[in-house]
Amino acid sequence: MVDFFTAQDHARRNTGKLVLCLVLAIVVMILGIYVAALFTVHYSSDESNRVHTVPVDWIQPGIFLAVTVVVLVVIGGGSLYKIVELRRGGEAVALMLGGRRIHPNTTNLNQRRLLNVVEEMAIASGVAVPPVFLLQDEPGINAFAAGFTPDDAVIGVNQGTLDYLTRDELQGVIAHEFSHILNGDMRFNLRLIGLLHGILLIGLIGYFLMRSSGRSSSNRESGGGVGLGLALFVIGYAGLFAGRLIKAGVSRQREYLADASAVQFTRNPVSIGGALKKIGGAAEHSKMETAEAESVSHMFFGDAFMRSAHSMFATHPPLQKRILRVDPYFDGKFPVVKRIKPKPVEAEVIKDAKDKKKSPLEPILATIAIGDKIPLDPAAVIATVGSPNADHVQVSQAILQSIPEELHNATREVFSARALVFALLMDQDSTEVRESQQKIIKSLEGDSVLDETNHLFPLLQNVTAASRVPILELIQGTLRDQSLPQYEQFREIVDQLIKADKKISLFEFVLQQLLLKQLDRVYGLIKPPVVRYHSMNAVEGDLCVLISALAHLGHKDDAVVAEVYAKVVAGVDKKIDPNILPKSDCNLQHIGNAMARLAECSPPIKKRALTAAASCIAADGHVTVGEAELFRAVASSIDCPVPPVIADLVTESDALDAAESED
Amino acid sequence: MGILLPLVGVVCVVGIVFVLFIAGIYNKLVQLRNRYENGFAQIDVQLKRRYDLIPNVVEIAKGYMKHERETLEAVITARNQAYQAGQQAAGSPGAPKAMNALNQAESQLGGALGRLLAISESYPDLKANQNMMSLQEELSSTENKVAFARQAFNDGVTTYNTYRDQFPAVLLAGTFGFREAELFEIADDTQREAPKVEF
Repeated sequence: MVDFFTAQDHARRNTGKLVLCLVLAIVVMILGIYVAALFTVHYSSDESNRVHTVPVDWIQPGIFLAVTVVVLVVIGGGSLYKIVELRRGGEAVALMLGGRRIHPNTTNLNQRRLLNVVEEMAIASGVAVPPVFLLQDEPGINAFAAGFTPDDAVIGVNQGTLDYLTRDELQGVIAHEFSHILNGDMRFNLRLIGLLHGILLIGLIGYFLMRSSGRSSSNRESGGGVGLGLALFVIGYAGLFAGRLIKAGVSRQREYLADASAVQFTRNPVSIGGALKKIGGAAEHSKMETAEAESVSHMFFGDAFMRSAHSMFATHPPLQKRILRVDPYFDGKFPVVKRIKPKPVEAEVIKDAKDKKKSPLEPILATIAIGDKIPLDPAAVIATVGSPNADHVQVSQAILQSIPEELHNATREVFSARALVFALLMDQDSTEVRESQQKIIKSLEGDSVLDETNHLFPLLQNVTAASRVPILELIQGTLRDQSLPQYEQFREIVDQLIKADKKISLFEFVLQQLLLKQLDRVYGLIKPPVVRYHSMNAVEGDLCVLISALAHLGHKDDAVVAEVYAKVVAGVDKKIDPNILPKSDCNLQHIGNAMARLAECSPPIKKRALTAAASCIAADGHVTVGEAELFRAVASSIDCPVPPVIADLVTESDALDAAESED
Repeated sequence: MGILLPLVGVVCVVGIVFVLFIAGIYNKLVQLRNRYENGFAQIDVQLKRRYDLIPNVVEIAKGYMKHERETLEAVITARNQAYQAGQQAAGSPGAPKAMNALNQAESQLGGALGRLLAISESYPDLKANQNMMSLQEELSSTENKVAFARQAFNDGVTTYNTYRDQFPAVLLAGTFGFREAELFEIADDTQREAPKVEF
């Protein structure tokens, strides 16, 4: 199994190969159009009908130059246009396909069920709950995921998917989509759309030229025009086929991988197998009706066109093969597919809870309070980055069920979600600080918000420590429903609330990194990160800041702190200066800057940085929940999603014990 | 021949740049419109909640306020009208006619509800009724949510209108069918305050 970092790296390199193929295709297209232009000029300039006796002049630099310029401009323009359109990432794709956002507080039972599944999977993966879009006019069974980073991903689902799939099957589809999100497929996919769009344009221009020239009066003129148009059309579509071939080659293998990840994620081949079988059995299969489907065909769960299964251009492996890979006993018969009647959601959740054996982690979740220590194996944790499995899903379900229902509902309403963030920032210990914070809220927002905050504050006392980060992950999606002015106001209040006690606590820092940084990107206040640094040398200073900070935070004794730092840093690179930075050089401002630069590193560098961070935190053999949260915040701010850490710690060490005893 | 082809080339280039420019404007208009339409969807969710709560309030009040038939009926009528207006507006958010109708209907509903709640102050048994208290609490919480969603929607409409009315979008908006969008204002906000009942 390839790990998250390697997968991301491969995805990046594939973009390079893709560009190369495209350049080749464009060169071929230019030559083709050049030839067509030559013939057009030749035939339309000849006065008499004795065209055959005059040879075609093959070398005409003027025409060649003109053709090259025009083709490059069209392709460049077309691609640029699409790339800019998709700059807003996943949401742009969803809207392009006719999707409408499903609001977190929807009461429609089918939609509610879908959102619950998405919540579970998001928390299990360690990403914020992505916005979900519904393609109401699509009766086929299909879904997609799009976005630049795991935390700004968007999921789109067809109406048919909601109508025909059971909760388990929905889980399989969503798990498949999440694995695309976590494997770095999405960014590559988005790039692909942009680059191929330009080639598509040539064919379209040819088509229009053909249509309009056909109506022209003069025979010879129209002959030339139609000829050129036809040539452009044919060449353009040849370009399109080239694009499809490229897409097909790249995405087919990925689909098998995503299916396999989905099985690992849900540990239930019936889920994804069931969904695939229903695609076979449904009348509309996974066909997409919108015309825009062509450009994003590689991003869907099922084949959007259902061409002949073994077509070279198919973006997905044949349905039968996919089913057989997850269910080897498949007999080839597709089920009869009927609409699912929406059941009250509670009934389904209770049934699920009874079906799964009681999680051994429940008692652990209940007793871990902030400050309790848990054993942590750094290598094990790094292995889980971007690779959640069924244990994480169980922990996620346990966490979600442990959150009081009123609080959970509050995370789904933008008005209450904001107040919930304020409540999370309310000082637990000092009444004085709390009062000044309340004043801030009242003066900037008014009584109604203050009342809501005060109402939610006591409910937070019943929340397990393990749930705080998941609550933030639930809230992040909901907070996108604010307008920009509302978000700016929100940000201002959060800043002031944090400053109220003149210090920044660990949790406040976690909140800033997990919530604010990601929302800043969504609202366009920060640009999404681009990979800039490929060697550790470039970000050595930033890594030192991070490790120094973590060392200081995790240990009290100065000597111990220095020793831990030296050890961790030596593990990264023996040439790094083993002297820890003083606290003044690694305050939260420095850490923030360091994180921003580390976010622009290539995946292998990120892996090394995260491994160092994990080693530092685990150096004393135990990790507090606060430190675990910090680690998740650090990982999240460099776009490496970490599943809920607790599951691994206990499961892994138990597994290790078991393995040893078998020897 | 030597001049013609390069000339054609230049015309093509200019044409394409022009088309890209237009397409960019069109895209931005679509994006901004989507944003406020999405904002309205959120308002719609909250309004529907309100419309669902109100009949329950009236039912309970009926039991205690046997002689206030007119007030109660006014609330139900206003609620039904607002519900219809809400449906219309959801079909075309921001369209002036639909929004104006909704604004009006909502003000009327606010007024009628305000009067009902004011009168209920003088029925202590009704005030003490547990169901009534929890319904009022839900109503007020929903009001807050409507207000917040309304603000987000209005922000979206304002951004859209500003972009649309400025150069260069202003030249093209008409041709593309992008009309000016209407805000969601409650016509007379003071009516929403429960009027004080003086004896």
